[in-house]
This record gives sequence, structure tokens and C-alpha cells, in this order.
Amino acid sequence: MPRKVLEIEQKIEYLSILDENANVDKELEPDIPAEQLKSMYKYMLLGRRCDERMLKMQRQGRLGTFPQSAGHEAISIGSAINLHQDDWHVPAYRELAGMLYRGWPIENIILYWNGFEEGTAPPEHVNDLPICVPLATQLPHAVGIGMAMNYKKEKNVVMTYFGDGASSEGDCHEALNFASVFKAPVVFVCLNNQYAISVPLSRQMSCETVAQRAIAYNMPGIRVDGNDVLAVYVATKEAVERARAGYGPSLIEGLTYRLTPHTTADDPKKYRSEAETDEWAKKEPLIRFAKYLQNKGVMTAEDLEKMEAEVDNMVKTAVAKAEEMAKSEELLNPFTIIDHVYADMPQFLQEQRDELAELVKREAARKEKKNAKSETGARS
Amino acid sequence: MSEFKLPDLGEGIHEAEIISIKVKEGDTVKEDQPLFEVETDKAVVEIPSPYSGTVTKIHVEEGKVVTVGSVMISFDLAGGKVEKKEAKEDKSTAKAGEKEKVAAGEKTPVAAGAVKTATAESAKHTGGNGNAGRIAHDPNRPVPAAPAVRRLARELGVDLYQVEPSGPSGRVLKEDVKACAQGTISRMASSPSDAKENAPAAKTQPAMSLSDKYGGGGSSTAYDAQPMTAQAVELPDFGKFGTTERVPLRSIRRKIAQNMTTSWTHIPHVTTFDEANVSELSRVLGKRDSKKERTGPRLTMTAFAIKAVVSALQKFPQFNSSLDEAKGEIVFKHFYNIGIAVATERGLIVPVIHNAETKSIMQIAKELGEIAEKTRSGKVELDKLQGGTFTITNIGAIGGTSMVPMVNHPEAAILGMARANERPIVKNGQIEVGTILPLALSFDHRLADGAEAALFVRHIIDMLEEPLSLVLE
Amino acid sequence: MAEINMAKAINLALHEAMDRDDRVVVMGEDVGQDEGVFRITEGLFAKFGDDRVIDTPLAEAAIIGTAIGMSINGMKPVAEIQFTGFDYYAFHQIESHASRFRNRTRGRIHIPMVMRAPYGGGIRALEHHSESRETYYVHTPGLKVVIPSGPRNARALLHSSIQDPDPVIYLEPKACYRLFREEVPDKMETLPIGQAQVVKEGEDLTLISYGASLRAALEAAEDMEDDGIQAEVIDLLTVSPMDHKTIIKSVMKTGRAVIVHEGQRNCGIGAEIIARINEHAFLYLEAPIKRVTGLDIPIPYFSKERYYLPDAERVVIACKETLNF
Ligand SMILES: Cc1ncc(C[n+]2csc(CCOP(=O)(O)OP(=O)(O)O)c2C)c(N)n1
Repeated sequence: MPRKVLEIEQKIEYLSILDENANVDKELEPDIPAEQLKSMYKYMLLGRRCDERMLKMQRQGRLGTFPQSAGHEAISIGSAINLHQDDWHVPAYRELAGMLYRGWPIENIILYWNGFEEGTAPPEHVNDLPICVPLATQLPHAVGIGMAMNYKKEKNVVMTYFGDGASSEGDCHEALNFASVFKAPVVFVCLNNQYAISVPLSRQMSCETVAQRAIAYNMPGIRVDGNDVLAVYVATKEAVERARAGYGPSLIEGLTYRLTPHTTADDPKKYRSEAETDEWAKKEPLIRFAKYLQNKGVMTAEDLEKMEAEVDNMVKTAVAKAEEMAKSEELLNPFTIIDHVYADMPQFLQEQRDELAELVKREAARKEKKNAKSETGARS
Repeated sequence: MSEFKLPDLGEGIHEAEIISIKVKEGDTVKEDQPLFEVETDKAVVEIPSPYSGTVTKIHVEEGKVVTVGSVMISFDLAGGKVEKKEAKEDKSTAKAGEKEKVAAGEKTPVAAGAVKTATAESAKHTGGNGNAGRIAHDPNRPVPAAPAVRRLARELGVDLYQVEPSGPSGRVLKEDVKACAQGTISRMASSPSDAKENAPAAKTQPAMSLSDKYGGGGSSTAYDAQPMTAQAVELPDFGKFGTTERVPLRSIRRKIAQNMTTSWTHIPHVTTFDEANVSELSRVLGKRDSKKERTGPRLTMTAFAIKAVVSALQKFPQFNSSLDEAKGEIVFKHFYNIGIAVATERGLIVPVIHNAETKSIMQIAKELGEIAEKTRSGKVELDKLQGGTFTITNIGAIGGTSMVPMVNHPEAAILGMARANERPIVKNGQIEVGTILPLALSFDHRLADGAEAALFVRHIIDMLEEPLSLVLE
Repeated sequence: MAEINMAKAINLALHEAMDRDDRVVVMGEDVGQDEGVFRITEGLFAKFGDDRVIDTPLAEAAIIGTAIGMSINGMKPVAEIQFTGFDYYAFHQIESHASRFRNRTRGRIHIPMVMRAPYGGGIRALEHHSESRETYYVHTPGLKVVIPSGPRNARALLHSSIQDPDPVIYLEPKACYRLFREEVPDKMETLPIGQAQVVKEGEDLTLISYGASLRAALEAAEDMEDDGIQAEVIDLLTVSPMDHKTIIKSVMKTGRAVIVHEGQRNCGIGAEIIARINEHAFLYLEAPIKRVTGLDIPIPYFSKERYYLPDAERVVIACKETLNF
């Protein structure tokens, strides 16, 4: 019955490849084909512009509350780019850039934040789960998908995302433990933007990193510069390869900063200083990556401008399309709220559907009356 | 021209303060150019322009608080060709619209529809068409009626199966029950022997011819084929044990059964027993009876009892009251109409001595003799069968040492008199012979309590034991 | 005192309760520096500091679990769950422990805590931010469930909830936070838990509601007055233990009832109200009791929320059907 020391590895790596001034560590620099680099930048940019557009729309009363994603593009794209099309992408809610990259139409995202569940139905060709609002609850799903892969002997991986705040939820710890016990092929990506709404990291946990929790769950863990898309890329690439090879889960923590309020309903001035925000704004991921692409000769200033215009156009078109769709009969169909609750409509619900039909009839009659009124009004 | 209204910038934000206005009237603005900085309960936010165009009017001022949905700024859209991006219809206007609609009440399409269905349905079930005059309840199912209607039926002693429904889908309504009860009362009022003469020709239905020896008691004998109550108890097959004969429950027997059921199910009965030493009274009565030449009517114990009861009722008015369950009120009656249970061939009938409080013993005795006779021979007038406020039942002539009488609904109490017999009684330590009249008062415990009942009976006893007081009364 | 809205009234009650009883602490996500996502804890952090206004890590189970522990050790925590959509995380703590300690220990240990949470729809919020699932708590023995409807009763009932020796689930109709203002008295007041209020008297039928849906009921009652219909309106205020005496008394008078709530219908509060009326006033009913409730579906995202939430029009129609029965 001795009292002795158990040897447990207690080291966590930190990885940064491209710094805020666009200096690149040549030794660590990954070898990414030019086309893929361009694509990465394009989707980061698209995510950013979409986010900005949506904020304006929200302020104009054209969109509901939504959580903004500016600042998180590098983590989202640097990781998602490592997935095959038939791998699984299980997001939280700030992975806008990654979702667009995975094939979600922009208009779906806009429709979703405009109050339409239709926007959250994954497109046919993508193995993605929709945005998940209840924090950390998506993580056990990701593990379950991975466990099913093991069972079915699929050679796929699951990439799932969560925030530093969400890392405090029981579901997060339970998912990490399950993944490690069952060697599920899951890559856990933590978007550590240092705040959970107003609560700073120091109040969220007393350990230094989220990544070190990997030690307790017996999986590789690493913290990377979350504004450095190359570092994210390298770390997740390794994790994806490990998972695909049957070595189980990994935990990657990307340290970043939310450049915006938590959601459109939040006021960050209450809990963090503008100086701090300004400091982190300088480290944001797009500028340094654009410089890197230019320095590397992958894109010229002109190319970048062209891409800006292309992306702007994509957003514009999508907004118009989304707003058109929002007026379409299909999306306005009130019965969609009932028709998808069960595979087979139970009797009691059918009765409520009939009740709803009455309400819809009333609404239509009211509209008609209003129209008739305005017509007579116009004539007189 | 386009207007921009303040949207809900947060979640459940209802107003915002204008911190700064970043454009002037006449300015040309581009889409997304900042227009205002506003502060809500939650945050300071910038509002970008939803349009490109010229600002024609700014409706708000810096430092002022505006509510969600108020117009903040108007634009002249450049060339009128910029696509309109109206903010979502704001809550306040939507609400107002609805309200206007709802206030229109029954004239709204659906409300009107609902009313229409109701009328259409009721037309189906009323108005002298197919259903009129026929009672179409399925005897194997409960009669459709709202609980409150059931309660009323129960209070009025009406069997729902016998009520003609006028509501939608054959539903019995309160009015139907009341109408039926009215019919029952008039039927009951027709004395059995008079029934045939009394039944107005118009009311006579072909079914009347089925009236048997008991006489047709009602306007529609179709009732008689109906079960008594919805929850009729099934009987065993008596035929297994010997021969039986089945006779329909009809007329008075049926009415008695109904009344007794009403009384039993509605009135929480309590009975108090006591004895009156009527030695002196019976001696006086005996003496008077044995006289060869009697002047005036035959005086009976019942006549004295009526007088004693009236006196007691005046002192204890709760025994002369009725409970109005529907209204939750007690009805005190300022008249004393004493019913006397009379056994007849057809069953028990209760003629009433009206305003007994205004009559002398002699008058009461006379009326009692006549009315009993008429009742037995089936000649009693209708009005003599109505309006009782208290009932006396005397089984003394036949026998019995005591009984538990049942209150004659909707009265509050009933006095039962058994046979007055000579018995040994102890008086001042001595045994002597006395005449003892056993009394039993059943009463509605909702209207009176046991102690009051005991005092009530005591009062009657006191009066019977001192007959002089009754004569003087 | 000036007229204030419900958000301010609840805030006022928290200030008062913390001023008068230092066992009262406030805890939850973003309740400190940020003063709550709905600003319900405004000024508390500045006034009472980190010790008594506790920004917790993001974990609802632990928020409620530790509040239970604090209660056991003599404190009176008022724990905020940011939205009821996230209180399920803590449900096992509420159901297995908060509600049971008194009974399990035969009264030795009790849990005088309050769980506050905004509930309900109508503010164009995100998915999982608009639910009305009070039934889950009502179905849990040992809990009290209080749902205020206006500034004045919100303040008074929060005081009663904090003072109550048992765990109280205090659900705030967030659509009413800033909907209207009301005069509240200068002096702190309480309202008995478990007592409904007749907020409008009438003879023709009884409208029973609570929380945000009370607005629809009141609006409907007002609209019906134009048609000469006098509805009596009852505000439950406490959903459990339910004050059925007030309901029964009214239904015995009117003979008709319509229940309005935005929670789902299936086994909802309305179902329980109907059962109680059946048990106590069956023979007084003139018509079947109607329910105007949320549908038995997840509350739709806001573009179609109006098809789900009861409104005055639906209430009026139900009332007329009841009256024309
Ligand atoms: C279970 C749960 N609790 C509370 C919330 C409300 N909420 C939404 S986001 C958020 C903060 C999340 O912080 P973090 O996980 O760090 O992610 P971030 O938003 O910073 O990306 C909170 C408290 C929620 N959505 N789900």
C-alpha cells in the first residue's frame, strides 16, 4: 500500500503558424494547394460578409436575433476543410463559414434567423446537423454518430464544435468521456473566444486551457491560435487522420475573440473594454490570411478585390432570394408547423390541425377584407 | 415614399432612446448608411438605412424615447425604383388590426359561421318538424344534456328520457326540462278519476286509448314505455323461481315512484321520534264521539295535529320552507297549507288544507272529513292537490307503532303519526294507564338541524297534551 | 412610487430581498457584470458584490445543484436560469432533490430556494427560447410554481417565493417584461402563494389564465363587452398549488369556463383545471369547458409563432362557442 506517483503526461501543445502580422513559420507551414487556399479564404470572407449583412438586416427589422460569427472564421474553415463530403459536421452556432463551405445555401441561414425552420433542414447532399442552440447538447450526438461509424465500420470522422462556456456543461464532459471510452472518431473543436456572453474565461474555469481537459479523458489535446487558419488546419488535419485511422477522439482548442456582441440582443460594453476589443481586432483572422495569400503569390490585390465583389454578389443574391422565399406559399404554409412533428399524424393532432385550418381561414378572410377596403379607398 | 419604423432590436424590446441622428432631412442616403444611434434597455446600437434615397422627414428627436413600431424616418426612394424593404409588420399595427376584427364580434366570418351552424342545427331539432311531439332518446345511452341541465332535471324530479329535446343534436336544454316539469305538474294536478274528463281534447293523443284501469295520467302515454331513470337497476330473472306477471308502472304509482325518488335522492333525511301523552285529548274525543247527537263534524286526532303543526310552523319557520338549489336560497312561505296523506286504491294522494292558520279546529275537522272522502272517491278538486307546505301522514287508523315518513318534496318536513295506544306510563313514581301517540318527524337536514326538529316536535306534543290551548289558539 | 414595468419590478424585489435578508444570494449565468440578459439583476452586482451576486460557470445542473446545497446550509439562493428552454439540464436536480429533500428527511432538511426563469413566446426569440413547460414542474410534488402577470404581483410574489420555506419555481412571462407599466406601492408587499385573483368580474362565463396569456384573456373579455358579454377573468398567479376554490366559486356562478394558456394542451394546466371543475362543480356546467392553448407541437420559430400562441380572437371565438352551446 505505498503512496507513490502515477505517471501522467501533463503537457499541452500550443500551435501558431501565421502570426497577426502575417509572418509565417516556414517549418510548420502546411503544404496546401493554391486552389484550396483560395477556397478557404473565399469561405472565410463569405462567412464574414454574410454576418455583417445579417447584422444590418437585424437592425432594419428584417431578421430576428442571431449570434454573430465574425472572428471565428479561421477555426471554422481551418477545421471543416479537412472533412470529406461524407464526413459529419456537427456545429454549435458560430460556424457560419464552415456551414457555407459544407454546402448550406446562404439563404437557408438567413431564413433560419428570420424565423423559418425550413432554413435549418440540412440540404440533401450534406452530412451536417443543423445549428444547435442548447449549449453542448450536440456533443453527445457527435459521439453517437461516431460510435455508429465504428459499428458500421465506416471510415469517416465527425467534427463537432462548442464554446468555452459550453465546455462547463455536463454534456460536454460526458461526451468527451464516452468518445474516449468508445474510441469514437470525433474531433472536438472548442471555439474559445474567452467569453460566454459576459462571463470571462477566468470565471468559466480555473485551469489555463480547455485543451488540457483532454489529459483527463485520455485523448490528444492541443491549443492553437484560433485566428490562424493554418494552425487550425494543421491541428485538425492530424486529429482527423488519427480518427480516420481508428485511434479515437481528439480535442482542439482554438483561442480567438468574438469581434461582435454575443448576439444582436447583447451589449458587450457592459463586460469588456473597448481597448481589449480593439487589441483583438488587430489579430482577427482574415487580414493576416489575405496578406499571406498575397505574400505567397496565391492571390493578387486585384484577385482579392474580385473575390470581394464576387462574395458581395453572392450575399446580395442570397438575401434577395431568401426574402423572396420568405414570401412564398411553401414557406408561408402554416401547416408545416404540425406536419413534421410525427411520422404519422396522431388523431388528436389532426384535430388541432383542423383547428389551425379555421384560424388560417379567418386570417385569409381578414386579408381579403383589408384588400377590398384599400381598393375602395383608392377609388374614392 | 417609404417609412422606416423602429424594429424590436433585442428580444422583447419595446422602446428605445434616440442617442443621435446621423442624417438630416434632404440628405441623400445610401442603403446601410447609419441613420440613428439608439439605446435600448439592453444596448446602444446603430441603425443602418434599409433604403437608398432622400430623407424627406425625420419623425424623432435626439433624447426622445420612441416605441417599437413608431415611424422614425421617411424617404423618397431614388427614382422610386429601389426595391422596397419594409420592416416586418410591427406588432402594434398587427394588434390593432386584429382588435378591430374581433370587436366586430359575431360579424366576423367565423363567429358568424359558428352561429349559423348553431341555428341550422337547432332548426333541425325544433320548430315542429320531425322531432316535435316525439321523444327520440336512445334508451340505451345517457340523454345528452349539460350537467347544469341534469341538475335542474333532478331538482324538478324530471326524467331526462321523457324530455323532448330542442337543442342541437338532440340535446336537452334547460327550457326543455322546465317545459316538461310544467307538464308533469299539470298532469299530476289532474286527479286520477278526473283525468279523462280533464285531459283537454287538444292534448289527447292517439296513445291515450292505451290508458288502462289506472287511467291515463299524462298527455302522452308514450312516456310509460320509457324506463324510470337512466340508471335503472337490472332485475334477476324471477321467472326461474315461479310464475310472474308484469304490469306497467303507470299513473299515480309512477308519479309516486318519481316523487319518492326525488325526495330520497335530493333531500338528506333525518327523522326524530317522540311520544305525546294524549290521554286527555283522546278522552275528550272519545266522549264526543260516543255522544248520540253530535253537532258539527267528527273531531279527530289529525285535526288537532294540524292545528298543533301550524302553531309549531309559525314558531319554527324553517319547517315551512323550501330550498331553491338553483339559486342557493331558502324560500320561507308565509302561509300554512297542510297536506294530509290519504291512502286510496290507486295509491297515496295528498290533498291540502289551505291556510290552516286562519281556520278553527272545527273548520279544519270539517274540511278534513270532506276532502278525505272526496280523495278516496276520486272527486277531489285539482286545486286541493296543490300548494302544500307541510304534510302529515297518519297511519294510526291502520296500525303500526312507528315509521320513518319521507318528506314530500319540495317541502321541508313531514310529521308521521302512528296509532295512539293505551300504555302503562310512569307518573310521579306511580304506574298509570295513559294514551301514547308515537310521532316521527322527518325533515330536510339542509334546512334544519336535529335540535330544532326536537323542539318543533316538542311544541306539537305540548299542544296535543294540552288540547285546550289548541282550541283557544 | 412611480409606474414601473415588470422587469424593473422583479429587479426591485431582488434589491429589497437582498437588503433585508443577507441569506439571499443571486446566482446564474450573466447575472453579475452583465446584469442578466434581460437586465433583471440590474444594479445588484454593483451594490452587493461578487459574494452575493454570483456569475456562475455555464452549467445549469450545477447552478441548481449548488443552490440546493446552499439552501441546505442555511442560505436562500435565488437562482436564475437564463431561459426555461435550458432548465431541463437542471431538471434532475429539481425533481430528484429540490422537491424531495423535505419529505425524504421527514422535515429535517428543506430547500427554501427560488428558481427564476423567463418563459414563453412572443418576442421573436431564437429556437429553444420561447417554451412554456410549467407543466413539468406542476407535475412534480413538493414544488410550488408561481407565474406573475404584471409588475405589482410580480414583485409581491417574488418576495413570497423567496420567503417560502419550500422550493419555488418562479416563471417570468418574458413577453410582459416591458409590455406595460404599473404603479407599485412604496412599501414592500407580499401576496400569498396559492391564491388566484379575480381580475375582472362577470356573470356570463369564467376565463381562467395566467402569465402572458392573461393579456389575451383580458383583451378578449374587453372585446366581448361590446357584445354585452360579461366575462369573469381569473388570474391563477400560482399554478401549483392551484387555487381551485376561486375557480369553482366563479364557475358555480357562470356555469361556463374557457381556459387560456400558451403551454401545450396535452396534460397541460387547462386539463387539470377542467378536472377540478369536474370534481367540484360538475352539475353547474352549462357547456363543455374550452381550452385555448398552444398546440401540441414544439412552439414554432417566430415566423409562425402566431399560429401557436393564443390571442384575443381565438379566446373570443372559444367563449362564443361556449356561450352558444
Ligand atoms: C444550455 C444553455 N444554457 C444557456 C444558453 C444561453 N446561452 C446561449 S449562448 C451562451 C454563452 C455561450 O458561451 P460559449 O459556449 O463560450 O460560446 P460563445 O457564445 O461564446 O461562442 C449562453 C449562456 C444556451 N443556449 N444553452
